[in-house]
Order: sequence, then structure tokens, then C-alpha cells
Amino acid sequence: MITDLRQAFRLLLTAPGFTSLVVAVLAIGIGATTVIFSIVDGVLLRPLPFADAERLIAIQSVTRGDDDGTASVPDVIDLKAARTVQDVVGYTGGSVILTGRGEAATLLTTFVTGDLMATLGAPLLRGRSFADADVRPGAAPTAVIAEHLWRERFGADAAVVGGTATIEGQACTIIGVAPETFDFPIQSKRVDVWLPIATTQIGAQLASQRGAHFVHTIARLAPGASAEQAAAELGAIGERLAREFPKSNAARLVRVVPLQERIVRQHRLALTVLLGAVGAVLLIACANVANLLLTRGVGRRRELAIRAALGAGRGRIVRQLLVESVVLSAIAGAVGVLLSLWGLAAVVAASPVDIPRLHDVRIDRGVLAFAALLSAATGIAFGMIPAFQASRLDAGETLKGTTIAADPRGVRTRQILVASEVAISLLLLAGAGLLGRTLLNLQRVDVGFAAERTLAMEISLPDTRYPNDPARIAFYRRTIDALRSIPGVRSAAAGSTLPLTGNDMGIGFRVEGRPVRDEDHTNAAYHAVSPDYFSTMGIRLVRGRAFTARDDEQAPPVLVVSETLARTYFPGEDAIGKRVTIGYHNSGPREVIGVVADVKESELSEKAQPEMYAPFPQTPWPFFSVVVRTERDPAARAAALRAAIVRLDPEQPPGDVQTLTHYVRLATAQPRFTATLASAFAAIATLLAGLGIYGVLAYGVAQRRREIGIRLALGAQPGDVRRLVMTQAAALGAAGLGAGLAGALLLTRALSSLLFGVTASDPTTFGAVSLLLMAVVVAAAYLPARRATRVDPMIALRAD
Amino acid sequence: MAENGQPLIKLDGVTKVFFTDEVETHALSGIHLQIDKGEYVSIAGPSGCGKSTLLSILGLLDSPTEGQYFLNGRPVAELPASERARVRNREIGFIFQSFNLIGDLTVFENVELPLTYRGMKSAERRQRVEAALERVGMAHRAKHLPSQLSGGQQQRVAVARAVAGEPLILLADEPTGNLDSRSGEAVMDLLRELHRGGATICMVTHDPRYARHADRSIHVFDGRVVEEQTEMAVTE
Ligand SMILES: Nc1ncnc2c1ncn2[C@@H]1O[C@H](COP(=O)(O)OP(=O)(O)OP(=O)(O)O)[C@@H](O)[C@H]1O
Ligand SMILES: [Mg+2]
Repeated sequence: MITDLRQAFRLLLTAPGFTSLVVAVLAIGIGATTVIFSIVDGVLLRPLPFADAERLIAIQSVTRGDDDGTASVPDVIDLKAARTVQDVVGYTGGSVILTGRGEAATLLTTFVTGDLMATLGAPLLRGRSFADADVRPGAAPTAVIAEHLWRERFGADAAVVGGTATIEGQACTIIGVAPETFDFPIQSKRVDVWLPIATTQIGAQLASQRGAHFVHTIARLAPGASAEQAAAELGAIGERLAREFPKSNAARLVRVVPLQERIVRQHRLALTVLLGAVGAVLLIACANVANLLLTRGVGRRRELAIRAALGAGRGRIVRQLLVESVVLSAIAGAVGVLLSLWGLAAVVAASPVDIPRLHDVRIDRGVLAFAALLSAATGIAFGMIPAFQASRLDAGETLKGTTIAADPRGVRTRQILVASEVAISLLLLAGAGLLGRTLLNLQRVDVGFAAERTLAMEISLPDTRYPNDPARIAFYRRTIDALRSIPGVRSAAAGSTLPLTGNDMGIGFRVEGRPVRDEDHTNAAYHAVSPDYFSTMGIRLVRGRAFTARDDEQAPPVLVVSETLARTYFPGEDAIGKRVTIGYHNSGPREVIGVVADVKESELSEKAQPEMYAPFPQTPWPFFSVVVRTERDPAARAAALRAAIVRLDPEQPPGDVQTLTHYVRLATAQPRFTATLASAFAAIATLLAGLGIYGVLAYGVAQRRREIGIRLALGAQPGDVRRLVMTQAAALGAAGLGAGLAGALLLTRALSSLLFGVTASDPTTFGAVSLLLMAVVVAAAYLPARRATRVDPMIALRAD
Repeated sequence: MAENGQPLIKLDGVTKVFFTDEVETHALSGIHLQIDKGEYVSIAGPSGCGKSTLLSILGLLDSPTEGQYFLNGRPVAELPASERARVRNREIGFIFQSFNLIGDLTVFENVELPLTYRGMKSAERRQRVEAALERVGMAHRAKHLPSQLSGGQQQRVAVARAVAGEPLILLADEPTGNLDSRSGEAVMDLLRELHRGGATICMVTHDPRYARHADRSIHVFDGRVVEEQTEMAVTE
């Protein structure tokens, strides 16, 4: 074995060009695979960082037909009765304002209905988590803060527990500090503080309503209980709730999924597809290297024949060759791991922000072990074919003849390898093409508003300083006035939430004079907006009128609806003049005064949904977002926007200022991530396949020099000879394309749910990638073909 | 004599110099040579004297460094590559020492190959190939691969390939060099028969027995023609 190793190294050193080519090709394959594997491992496979994480479940209250759903706080309390689960807790995200500790700051918050840390089995760094008494309505405000907040804002004060923090303008007792290792919910940005859901007025208000389905629910399976038992029991509770509270729960059912599954499900398909793609790249790399080795194997026949003649058995020769290829792949593996360190950083940097745990992905020991295994397997995979082929040589025959004719079996193997490379490349190109088309289609989606030259900022008003509607309305008016007077700002408006910013709100409604049926799904996206909202956002008014300053808190209640709402609920009628009651601010029926164009609320791929708008002063919220349209570059106005808010209320931390273009772009982040990586892999694959074809053809031309020379001597024109090579290339390409197309048609179906505006078997995409690949084949054949025409026909006269 | 009274081949002061690694090899120095239509010429001389080089120039595989070459009255020394390929294809038939049949093609396809480069219709090609194979007595082996034939049989197929296109001249470079004497005899008989049928032949050979088949023997030494003998002179 040691001798084998020593010989292997010596051999690799004697052919440095060959060695570096093989190492480069393999290192790219192994490196890329390692990067994607580390992400799949860190995001999808690795257990959540909690005790007995596999016993954690998500309890979903879903509307029939939906994938995911949230429960109401009263639902959560009823679900606690189940015996098969324990520590049922509901939570929802939000933000609060921290004052009195340096500059006012907006804290990323998780509101909870109970002891979240107990459910997750996570110990605290200091103090304790929430007891039942802390989460009861009317309880004294308490908070658990994150370690990083404790260090940054509380100077890592050892006596922080028992002290207070001013949150939303009220004094909260800090009861605990959660360690940095605790991070829940798992999202791209770390949570700063955990608070009982009733800490804010609106939270308390919503928590009392059976119909306010806004909390995610998790629990731990009770000792001895199985997930199936829990699903049955919780499902039964769900059915009971649907019977008892038909108004809010009739269309809902309760489902159980493993918590990890719920967190990663959204990304599973995309990441699996990428892993498949990168695996395919590695496969092509292997095929390429196997080809290179086969080529070299031809040159080494004499050496191997001498070894065989000296008594080396077949197993001995196979071993020698396998040792060589594994040494090659080990070197490539080491280089690949180095590449993957850089690649992972690049991928993480390019990734959309919302893949959970992505930022924790490391090339750790597990991944290294994977890379090592992968390298060894690769070495054996690409080494096997040439090794066995070489071992089948007849020693006597090889030594006898001075001329070595092309070995037809070797040629066939090489052609099959290369055709497979083309097939796999086509598969990847088709997938990347479809994902690319999806991205283009998404980018072309009409979002319903004009995102260019706008700036947006969220503002949330603490209950303590803005305790009632008049106070909130007053601040809202002053804010809009202040923003409007910023130089370079053309118009300013406000809305309770802005489309595509990740916040959306749905509210039930009822059309006056129509019977109400509980099953009816009369829910619409809802926005409380200022008079200039439509013009500032660039949302087209289709009929009727927009709001004016006169539609204030004293004026008759009015409503603007979207085209889809008008079409769905007032088919064949004019929506204008109709009266609609909305499930917020019991202000009675509202008259529909206008119809506006549809707007994408949370996703670009969503179907148009019913939307409604009410004047902000008539339905004020304790938070809203402002949006301004600027004359020129909006980024230049961001600081002025922030300053204006601070001038109005120094205790109000200015929120993140972002352009709406940023949010629109963010909405394509995930598909862009997938499409970019898939394209990169497809490009590498195609390049390698091109290289493979080039190799086979160039080798073929070298081997057939004499034949080509004879043909030229017999009067073949350069074009005839070129055609000879091109025909071979075309045959290889066509075989690969045929197999690839068949495979692609089967496999791209798995992509369906990632696609938008293009079918999995889109003929244009398939046609285009086939053409592209054929062009690559022709390009790869160009040099060998040219070399063939340069063969000196004199070779025919030389007798050898 | 060619129809217009000119020799079929006329070399005028042809020299060939190879430049390799700053070494000049004067393979041919001032060759004057005429071959008339219907002649059978053999070329002899020691190894390295330039026989093959001469043949390659005659066959338009290579072009002279200096001098003129008229083929059938037409200057061909400076033709462009594609025109030279055309001339090789239509007007010259090659027979090589190592047969040079293409291993992947059947006997039939090998003979057909030069005809396909002419864009000849397949029916006519078939007829010509069959006739040529008939002439060399290999018609029954049309579907065989060259590797299934003996050396002598392979060379007969090569002759069929050379004559199938009805060239102006057959050029043969030691056609018996790779054959045992019996097979060599058979091939030489074949050439003689072709010659009797009117073919013009120019053959390089070391073997004085075969040189005697020719009407005329040319001796080359160090790139020069040193001696020309007619058949009569030799037999005397
Ligand atoms: N392509 C070439 N490059 C350089 N030198 C060459 C080339 N071809 C031939 N020569 C040289 O030209 C000279 C004549 O070679 P040629 O092959 O014509 O000899 P020959 O008479 O056919 O010999 P033989 O009887 O051994 O076949 C030799 O010295 C040879 O080395
Ligand atoms: Mg020679």
C-alpha cells in the first residue's frame, strides 16, 4: 500500500499539468457540493438547538386548504387542555420601543402567551421566564431580555434581574436574561426581548378575541405520547372549537407538524433542488475526470502491460490505479474545502435574509467529514471505470504490437460518459432556465403601486404616550405635515401597513343587507390610510374618488375597495354607494366611495385578493408606516426623514428607512437566490461538459491523425474533415440532448411549486437551453475540427 | 503523350527543402522529370535519398520549394489547398506501403471513399466500386473489414481504391514493402495488368525484380536524378 501511495504521488508529480487539471475540475465539484451540503445540513437536517428538539411540535390552526395558519389566544388556552402535549405556548412577532437606556431604540420582540423557554427546554442565563401570573391580563409588566441587549444596553449589569426597563413608555420588570445560544423564533434577525402578549394595549385587546387568529403555537409532546396521538387529540379539540365558535372557527382545523418541519418547510424544496443540482455538477466533474484518466490510461497501457507481465495480478493493478485516483481526489477534496469556505461566505452574503439558521451555517467537523467521504467516494467513482478497463488489457498483445489502435471499448465508454455530461447539463440548464424565467416573470409582475423614488418608515406609538385615538391621530397629522415640508419631497402619506413590507393585516367585513353565513370567507387585506395615500403610492384610482382631508373622524365613515373586492362581492353591480361594515372600530356601516387597482400585499406571486382602505382618522392604529415620494434620489432624503420624526418626538426612535424598491426587490430575493445558484451550477456543468466534449474530440482527432491524413491524401477537402469531427460532436450532443430532455421533462416537474408564470415543461425554455447546449457542443468541437484540417496528408506516406 | 501533345507530368528544376530546428534538409535538388501518358516508371535509390518526397510532390501532398510542376499541361505547384485536394481526388490514385485502409470502414466503403469526396451519385459510386473490386479480384470481400483481410488482400483493395476514380496517374510508394514475396508478386502482377490496360504508373521500389516491370527506371541519389534506364537497357 505504501509503495502504491509513493508511486501514485510520483506519477502525479511527473504530469503536473494533468494533475492540476484533474484537481481543479474535482475541487470545483467537491467545493460546490460541500457548500450546499453545509447549508442543507445546517438549515434542514441539523436538529433545532433545543433539548429533545424532535419532540417539539407546531400546532397549526389552518383554514382549510392552507399550508400554515395561526391560532387565537383563546384557542391556545383551549388547546392547553390536551393531555398528549405539554407546555403549549403561543407567540407572535412585533416591535416595541425601549427608552431611558441611551438613544431610544426599536426592539425586535416576541410576544408570548406563556413560558416559551420552558417549552423549548432552554435554561436562562439569569433570572426566570414567565410564570402564569405574568401572562394573565392585567398582570404587572415583565420582560425577558436577550443577552446581547443586556450587554449593549444594560452594561451586562449583574443585578439586572429585578430592575426595570422602560418599554413602550411603561416600566417593565426584567425577570430574566436569555443566553445568546437561545434564539427563538428562529429568524434572520435575533430577538431582543420577549414580552407577555398583553403588554401592549392592542395585544391585550386582540388576545381576548376568539376571532383574532394571530399567534403561532408550539408545544412539547407529553412523556409517552406520540405525534399521532397528539394530532388526534388536538384535531378533536379543533373540531370542538369549530362547532362551539362557528363564527370564527367554522372553516378551521387544527394540525400538528414537527416544529423543525414547520420552520424549514418553506425552504426544503429549493435547497433540495440546489443539492441535487450541485450533486449533478459533481457527477459531471467525475465523468470528466474519468475521461481524462481513460485518455491517460491509453498512454499507460505499455507500463501496465509490463507490470502484468512481471506478474502483477488484476487486483493488484486495479488497486494501484484506484490508489492513484483516490490520492487525486483527496488533494482535490482539500482544495475543494478551501474553496467551500470562500463559497459559503459568498452564498450566505448573496442569500435572501429569511432562510432560518443560514447565518449559523459553518464548515464544521460534520461537514468536513462529509467532504472527506465525498472525496473518497468521488475518487473511487471516477477511478473505477479506467481501472477496470486497464486491468482487462491483454499483456502479451500490448507488448507485441508497436502500434496501438484505438480501443473501441474505451472509445465507447468515453462517448457514453460525455453524452451523460451533456444530458446532465441539459437537466441543470432547463432547471436554471425555468427558475430564471420565474424570476423574470416575478420582476415583471405589476405590483399595483409605483415603487420608484419612494421612502418608507415604520412608526409605532407606545400606549403610554399615545394612549388614545385623538393622541394617535394628532401625531399622525403632525408627522405627515412635517414630512411634506421636507425639501425634495413631493408628497407624503401614511398607511397602517405598506404592501410587500412583510406586514399585512386582514379584517373581516360584511356587506349591508346580505345574510351572513359563518362559512363565508369575507376577509380582506386592510389598510388605514391618509388622504394622499393613493397618489403618493401611485395606486391607480379606477372609479369614484379617493379620500380627502374632509374624510376625518367626524365625517361619515367611508371605504375604498380594490377592483378584485368589487368584482368578487359586487359582481355585475357598481360597488360605489354600497355599504360595508368592517370588523374593527365599531363605527357602523361605511359607504364605498372609490375603487382602486389591486396591489400585491405580501408576495409577488399571490393572486389578486380583496383589499379595502379606510381613512386613518376613522380607524386609527397605534402604528403606521409613512411613505414619501421624492423629486430625485430617495436615498438622499432618508436622513431628513429620520430627523423629522426625532424633532416631532425625541422619545420616538426613528425606524428603518427603506425605499419601496427595496421591498419589491426583497420579494424576489428567494427566487433570485435559487435561480442564481442554479444558474451558476448549470454554467459550471455546461462548461465541464464542453470541456469533456472537447477532450473526447481532441483525443479522437489525435488518435485518428493517420486516418484523417489518408482521407486528405485521397482528396478530402478541409470541410469534409471538419464535418467528420462535427458529425461526431453532433452525435454526442444529440444523444446527450435526447437523454437530457427526457430526464428534464420528468425531473423539472418537481420544481413546479417554485415556478411562476411558466410551466415545468415550457417549450421555449427547453428549446432555448437545447440550442445553447448545442452551441456549446459546436464551440467545443471547433478547435479539434480545426486541428483535424491541419493534419499533414504526408502522414499517409510514412510507413510506421 | 497527353492529348495536346504534352507529357502527362513535367517537373522543371524542382527542389524541396525541409526546415526543422534550424536544420535545412535538401530532400530534392533540381529534379527534371517527364512522365508520358501510359508510361510505367519506377523510382529507386537508397534510403533517405528523397523518393517519397518526390512522390509526395508528384501527388500534390506537398509542394516544391522551387521549380515548376505541370500536370497534364497545367501548372499545379502553387495551387491553393482546396484545389490541390480536388486534383488529388480526381487525377491521382495513391497506393501506399502500409495499405492505409481505414479500419472502421468496410472494403466497399474504403474503395468508395474518394468517390464520395467528389459528390458522385451513389448509384454511380456503387457501379464504379464494384467494377474496381472486380478488377482486383476482391469483389467477394466487399463487406469485410480490412482487419479481416491478409496484407496482400488489403493492398489489392488499396489498388482498387486508387483506380476506382479513374485517375490520370497511379502513384505507389513501395507497394510491396509490407508484403511477403508471394503477395508482393500478386500486387505487382496487378499493376502490370493495369498498365497493360493503359494506366500511367509511377512506383517507388527498392526491389530490382519489380523495377524491371517498369518501362523506365529512375535512380535518385541525394535528391537528384542520377540515372534513367529504359527497360531495354536493364535487360541487356
Ligand atoms: N517532413 C519532413 N521534415 C524534415 N525532413 C524530412 C521530412 N520528410 C522527409 N525529410 C527528409 O528528407 C530526406 C528524404 O526523405 P524521403 O522520405 O523522401 O526519403 P526516401 O527516399 O523515401 O527514404 P526511404 O527509402 O527510407 O523511404 C530525408 O533526409 C528525410 O529525413
Ligand atoms: Mg520513402
